[in-house]
Amino acid sequence: MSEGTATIRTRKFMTNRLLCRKQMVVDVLHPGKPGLSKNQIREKLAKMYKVTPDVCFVFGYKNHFGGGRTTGFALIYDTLDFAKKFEPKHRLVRHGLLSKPTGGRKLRKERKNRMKKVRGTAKAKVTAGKKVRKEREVVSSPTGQHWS
Amino acid sequence: MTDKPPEGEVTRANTLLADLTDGLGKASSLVTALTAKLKDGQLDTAQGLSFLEMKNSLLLSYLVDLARVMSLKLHGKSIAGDAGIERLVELRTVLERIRPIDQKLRYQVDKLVRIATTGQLGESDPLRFRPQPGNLASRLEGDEASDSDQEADTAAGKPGKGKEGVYVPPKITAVHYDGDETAETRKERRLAAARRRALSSSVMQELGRQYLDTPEEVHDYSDTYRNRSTREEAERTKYEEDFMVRLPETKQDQRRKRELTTDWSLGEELTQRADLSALEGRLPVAGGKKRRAASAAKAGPKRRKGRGNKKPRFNL
Repeated sequence: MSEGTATIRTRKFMTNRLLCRKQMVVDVLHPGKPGLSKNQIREKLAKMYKVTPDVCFVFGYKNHFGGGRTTGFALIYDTLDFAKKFEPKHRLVRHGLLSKPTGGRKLRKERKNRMKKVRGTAKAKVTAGKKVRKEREVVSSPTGQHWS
Repeated sequence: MTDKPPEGEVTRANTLLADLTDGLGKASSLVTALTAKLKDGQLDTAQGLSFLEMKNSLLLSYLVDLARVMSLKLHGKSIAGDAGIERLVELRTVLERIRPIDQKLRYQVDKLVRIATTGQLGESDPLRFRPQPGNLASRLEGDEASDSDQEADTAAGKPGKGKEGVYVPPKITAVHYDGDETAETRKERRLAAARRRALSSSVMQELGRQYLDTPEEVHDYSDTYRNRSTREEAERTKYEEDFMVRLPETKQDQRRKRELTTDWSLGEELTQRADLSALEGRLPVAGGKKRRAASAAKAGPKRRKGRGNKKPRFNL
């Protein structure tokens, strides 16, 4: 909200009753200044449509040729529950409503492959990490030599 | 007619007869003068309008027949079934039928009459506005137009012509003189120009489109070299806004877009952000432009290797 001269205009407004949201194309005019951040745009939109900023999801902001104008999209859900139901996971993660699954892609795939080998409730026992190798016992021979 | 006519009619008849005799006297004098002129050959109608001549002869025959009918009536003879009446009727019809032709010939007749009286065409005659190639020829005294080289030579060959060898530059064309401009007026002029530029920038036009209610003008011109790319760009934007997705840009698209915004392709004004500081009374800073131009030049256009000019795809 520090950009006093930025103007927000909405176009192609549509109320999507199936997904319980309002969707629109947003034009931000910011002559001579850098573009607004997504949070700032969310707050401005929330004020315009008299909702809380947490049901506003904005994405796809691109700066136009020559500067001064940015165009993107915005979705305003009726409630947060509908938002959690219908929004794609990566946007929920951006808002902090969902946490990103830890581990890497490779680890996830390996875990899945290990799960395939087991049947039933044992699937849940399959660990996500690498299998811990058991410590080899140190055996002492009568001659006193050590094998590890 | 045995009964006496009433008094009023008698007096009227007397006055009419008197007028008649006067008229006859005048007419006869006119006619004798006209016949004298004709006999002398002063009136040559060979090059006149034949239409008027025909009208004259028709009128003459009409008058002759009319006089005959009048004389018959005066003598108290009957005019029923007379061949003269039929001729009169025929002539009268013909004269009435040719009256519109008279209208159409009015301009020509007026022109001829004017030439006869004043000896030249009228002021607003359209014939006066015909092209005059003679006006194209130069009317300079002395040297003709083909001596332009000589003129340049004389101008350059004698530059020192002035007071006592003071150098006078050759005056070939007029040049704007701004030596009397003070620093303030110069600053004002630059500020006014910057204001004009800022007001007509694309950002201000957007705001005007939003808040003013002047009708929107759509300029439809097609640039031959950029037709296809403009059309594809418009299609892509339309798709993106309808389905609220951002289509991925291939490396080629990115390169092409980057090349569009370099200095060598479009020039500085289009790539710079609109500087609206002039609207607040501050002169635009020249240093900022140079810095951006330097950075853009450093990026430079990358050579496109491999297949170029591939049709852009929509990766859905």
